[in-house]
Amino acid sequence: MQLKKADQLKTDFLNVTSHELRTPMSAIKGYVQIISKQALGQINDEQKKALEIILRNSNRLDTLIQDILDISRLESETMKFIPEKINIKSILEQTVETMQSFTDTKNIMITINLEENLPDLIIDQEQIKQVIINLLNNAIKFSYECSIVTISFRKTREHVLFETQDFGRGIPKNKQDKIFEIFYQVDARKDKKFGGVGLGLVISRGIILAHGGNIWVESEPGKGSTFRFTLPIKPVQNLEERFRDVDIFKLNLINMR
Amino acid sequence: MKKIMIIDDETDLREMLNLMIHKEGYKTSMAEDDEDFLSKIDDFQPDIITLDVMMPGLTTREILDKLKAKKTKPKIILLTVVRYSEEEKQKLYKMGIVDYVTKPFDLDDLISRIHKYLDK
Repeated sequence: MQLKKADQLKTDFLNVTSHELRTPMSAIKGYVQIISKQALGQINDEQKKALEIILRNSNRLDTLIQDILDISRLESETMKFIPEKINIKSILEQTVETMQSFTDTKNIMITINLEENLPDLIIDQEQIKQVIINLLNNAIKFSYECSIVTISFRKTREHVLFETQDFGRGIPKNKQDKIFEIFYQVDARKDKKFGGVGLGLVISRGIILAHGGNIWVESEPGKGSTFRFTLPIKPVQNLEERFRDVDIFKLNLINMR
Repeated sequence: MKKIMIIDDETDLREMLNLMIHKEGYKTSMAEDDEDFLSKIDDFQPDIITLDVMMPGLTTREILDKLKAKKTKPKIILLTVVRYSEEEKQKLYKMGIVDYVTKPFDLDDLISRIHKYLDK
C-alpha cells in the first residue's frame, strides 16, 4: 500500500512539475508564433530572423525539459508507455516536418528511403518519434553546412531497421560505446554550444531496448556516422517493465546485440 | 458567429489564446476557474471550450461533471501536459472531450482543430 502511494506521489509530482515548466514555454512559443504571423502588425526580415532564433531556443529548452523529466521518470520508474499499432511512414513524415527549420538553417538536404510495404508496428509512437528526432538532431548537429543526411527504413527477417547517416565529423572508435552513457558528450567543450546535456542517446537507447530492439553506431572521424536501430516486427510485452530493466548508468552494448 | 470559451487559470496563456482565437474571427469569453466559468457559461453559450488542465486545483473530471449539469453542451478541447492511452482517451471522450493537445502546443495546430470541430 505504501509503495503504491509513493509511486502515485512521484507521478503527481512529475506531472505538476511538467505542467509548471510547460506553461511558460507555451506562452513564449505562442506569442512568438503570433508575432511571426504578423497578427500584431508587420515585421521586417531582421525581426523575423530574431523570432526564429527565439523559437529555436525555446524548442531547445523544451527538449531539455523533456529530457530532464524523462530522466526523472526513469529514476522514479514512472515512465509511461502507450503501445499502439503505428504506421512507420507517418511517424517519419511527422518527425522530418518537425526538423524542417533546423535543416534549413544549416542547408542540409535530407534524403529518405522508405522500403515499400513496411509492416505497421505496435510501438509507443511518441517515444519512437523522440528517438528518431534525437538521432536526426545529432546527425544535423554534427554535419557540416550544405551536406546530406540520409534516412532509411527497411524490413529484415524479423525486424524493421532504421538507419540515419551523416557525413559530418564522426566519432572516434574509443568513444563509440561511451556516447550511449549518461551525460557523455564526445567533445564537451565543442558540444556544449550545440545544447543538450547528453541525455538524448541514453533515453533513446532505453526506449529502443524496452521495445525489444537494438541501437548502435558505425562511425569514422572526418567521414561521418551511421546510427541504426531495430524494432521487432513481433512486439514485446511489458514495455514499462523492460524499460526499468535497462541499466542506464552502465553500458553492456556488446551483450545486447 | 461561433463562440469559444477559454478556461485557464494562467493569465498569460488565457490572454494569449483569447488574442489568437479572436483574431481568427471568433467571439470569445475567458474564465479563470470553476466559479468564473459556471457563472458565464449560460449567458455565453459557447460552441467550443478550450480547457486547460489546471494543476493543482479542480480535476478535469470535476469540472466536466459541473459542466454536465448545465444546459449548453459545448465541445471541449483539452490542453494538457500528459499523453493518454487509447483507454484513457475513451474515458475522455465519454466525458465530453473531443480532442486534446499537449503543451507547449503549436498555435496553428490548435486553431485547425478548433476549425475542425466547428465544422462538424
